This record gives sequence, C-alpha cells and structure tokens, in this order.
Amino acid sequence: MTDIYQIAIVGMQDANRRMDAISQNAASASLPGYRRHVVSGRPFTAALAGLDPAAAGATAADIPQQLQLDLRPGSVTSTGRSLDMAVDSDDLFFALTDGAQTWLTRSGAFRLNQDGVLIGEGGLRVVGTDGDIHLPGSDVTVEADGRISQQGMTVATVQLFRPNDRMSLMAAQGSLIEAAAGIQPAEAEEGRVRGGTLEASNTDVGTEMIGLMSIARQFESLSRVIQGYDGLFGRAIEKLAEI
Amino acid sequence: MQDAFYIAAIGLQAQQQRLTAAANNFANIDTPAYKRQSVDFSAILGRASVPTGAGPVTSAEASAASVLRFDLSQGAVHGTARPLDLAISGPGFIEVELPGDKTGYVRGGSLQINSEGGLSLPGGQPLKADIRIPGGAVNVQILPDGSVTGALSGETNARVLGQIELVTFVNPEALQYRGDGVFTVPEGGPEPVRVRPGEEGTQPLSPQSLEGSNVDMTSEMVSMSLIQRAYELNSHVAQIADELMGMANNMRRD
Repeated sequence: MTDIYQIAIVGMQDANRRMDAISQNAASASLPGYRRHVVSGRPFTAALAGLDPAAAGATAADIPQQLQLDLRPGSVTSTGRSLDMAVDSDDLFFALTDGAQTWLTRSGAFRLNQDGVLIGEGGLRVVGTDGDIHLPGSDVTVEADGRISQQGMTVATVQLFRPNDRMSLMAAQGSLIEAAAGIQPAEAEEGRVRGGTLEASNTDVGTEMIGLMSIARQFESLSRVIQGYDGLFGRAIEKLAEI
Repeated sequence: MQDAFYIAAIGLQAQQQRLTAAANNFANIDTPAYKRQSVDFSAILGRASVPTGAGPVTSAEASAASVLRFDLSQGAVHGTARPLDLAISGPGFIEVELPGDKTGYVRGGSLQINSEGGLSLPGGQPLKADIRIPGGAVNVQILPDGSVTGALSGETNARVLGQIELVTFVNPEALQYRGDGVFTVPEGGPEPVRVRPGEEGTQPLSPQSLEGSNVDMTSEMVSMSLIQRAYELNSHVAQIADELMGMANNMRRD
C-alpha cells in the first residue's frame, strides 16, 4: 500500500537534488571557469531499491554518481590582467594542488601569493612543468605554449592536463574538478594558453530557468499524488469504520 | 532544499558586491589615477560555499584573500599645465605618510605645498620624500627625474629643493586599497623597492599632467547588465525553493 508514497518521495528527492544543482549553478554564474553541475537521471528502479534497504540485490553501485559536470566551454573574455589565462582546447585543464591532492580547473584567474608562487582558486598552487610556479613579479607575458616570460626570458611554464576519463570528472568546490580516474600531462603543442583572458562560467540562464520551472511543476504533481492518495486512504478507513 | 536557499543567498550577496564595485567605478570615472575595482568571485564563494563532493578546500591564502581586486593598468596621462600636478607612467608609486606612522602609496595627483614647506596630496597626506620649499620660493616645479626645483626669493637661478623617488613592488596586486587613491601594504605583503624615476624598469615622471582613471565605461555597462541577470536568476532560485517548501508544507490536508 505504501508503495505509492515511496514512489512519490523518490521523485521529490530527485527534484530536490536538481534544485540544489541549479542553485549552485546560479550562484556561480559569474565564477570564471565554473562548469555547470548536472544531476544525471538515475534508473527509477535503482532509486526505489536504494530507498528500501530490505530490497534484494540493491547495492550502492546500482545508484550512479548523481552530480556530474556539463563540460561545454564558456565564452572567453579579455581582461588585460597579466596573470589571467584561458585554455583554448576543450579537453585540457589547468591543475591546482595543495601538495597532497590535485584538482583540475578551467579557471585561469591566478595571482601571486606572498612567496611569489602562482596560486589559483582557494589558494591552491598552480602546477607547472617543474612543479610550483615561482614568478619574479606580476609583469609577465603568457605565451601560447604556456611559457611565462618576463622581458623575453622564460621564467616558468604552465602545464596543462588531460583527464584519463572525461565521464568520471566530478564537481568539487567552486570551479574545481575532481578527476577520480587520474590525469596525465598534455604535450605543449596540444593546447594553447591565452594570456590576459578568462573563460566565463558556462551557466546558461535560459536552461537553468527552464529547469526551475519543470522542477516546480514536477514537485507540484507529486504532491498532488500524495494528497490524492492520502484522501483515498482516509475515505477507505472511514468506510471500513462504518461496517 | 534548504541548501538551495543558502546557496541562492550567497549568489545574491556576491552579485550585490559586484554591483557595489561597479558603482564605485562609475562614481570615480573622473578621479585622477583611480584604479578599477573588481570582485574576486572565487574568494566570496570560497568563504561561504557549501562544499559539494570533495572536502573543504582552504588555505591561509584563501582566508586572508581580500574580496576586492584592483586593476592596476595604466590610465591615460593628460597634460594639465599646473606645475605641481604629477602623474606616473608605467609601474611605480609615490610614498606618502599616513597617520599612525604608516606608509601609503599613491599614483600621483595634484600636489600642494603644505605649511611645513613639503608637498602633500589634496587629501592632506604629506609625501615622504625629503622636500623643503622655503616660503617665498617661486617657480616651483617637478622634473621628470623626480627632482623638485624652485628659485628662492631674491635669487634668479632655480635650485634643487628635494627629490621624489618611486617605489615598485614585485607583486603590486597584493596591495590593499584604503580609499582616497592611497594603497597600503598588508601585513607580510611585498617589500617596497625605492628607485629613481626612469631607472630599473620605471619611466620618468610626467610632471604637469594627471593620470586618468582606468575605468572603461563600456565594459562596466556590460558587466552591470550581467550582474542584473545573474541576480535575477538567483532570486528566482530562492523563489522556487520557497514554493517547493510551501507545497511540501501544504501536502497534509485536514
């Protein structure tokens, strides 16, 4: 009897998850290099089985990772700032590290920290061909092959990376991307780095608005289902009591 | 569901801060040597966001990072014919004294002779350079190499009364703005390096001229309409999240 409740609840929880993803996308609409979070549809039976721990054969692996990324490129705008850079090729990324873990990002809004090390989002260090990138100052030029030069002298080179499996990329904080399947360095000629430009977020106002509207309607119809079923249930109990 | 509310609120705050920066830029479009402000979006979201997926990513730099960024690119230098107007072309700042024994850094401006015979900004902050202009001195001017000259009363030949030096920073973006065209070095920030104007990568001073602001009207207008749309989207998110909660609350009928 309670199956109908459960089915409606699965639908509502999905709506909630999509709502959270859209709110994250909207809040990050101006974050350079941000990649839209997308809740991938999961098979309904898997979701239902996941709700009920007693159901036979349901394992965590049946429920796929829900938060995926829309990896379409954002528009590139010129900022004129010497430490801003954007990657031309869609499947290459900058890498940021805290020493233990490495994240990918499309955001090239870099700056120097107090020790002259190039850092990106969250104060994480940008990965160069020789580890951390130490710069003598911010009056530098970024060449297309990733070399950073000061007055004609190459001082460091930004290394671009390619994820081993594009489908397994997961959203981390802000514009950071977690590559669960590992990453490998790309050859210098594979991608171009554009200095003085930034790639915008790929949040699309129209898509997000349509998503919002459909979530609202889906939620509304599911709540009607619950209300109707609740009414049905109530009347059945009343009739039974009259006997 | 409550996540959606909080995230939308952060999005609204962030757009609000961008609008404040844009308003500041518009208001100072005619302020000499004004440097365009922008908001570092990742700093705002990094301070407040609900981490998704991976654990929180924080470091000392991230929490200390100020949300405002300054575009230190050169503004247009135009002549004014006023002898004590001073503009800097290329990199560098001039040191001024701030209350409390602090040092500020400015990009020039309309200097004035103060009561002690030194030079100071229109805001009253005296230049740190050792300049003594005795009363009655005439024809006081600043030369491109930074020396201040003038003829004392009763004399006809000009003599050097002081020397203005430039300071440069390895990483000028780390400077903080404290209003009135004055920047300061934050704690642990880059060390200033004193140079004579025209040496070590700097250019000679531009006397009798002022540096315009580097605000670009068109790009500010474009960013303003983007701010408006992003704000709108975030407010719709909050509104719909509210509607969903309302529906959930109203599901139970008596």
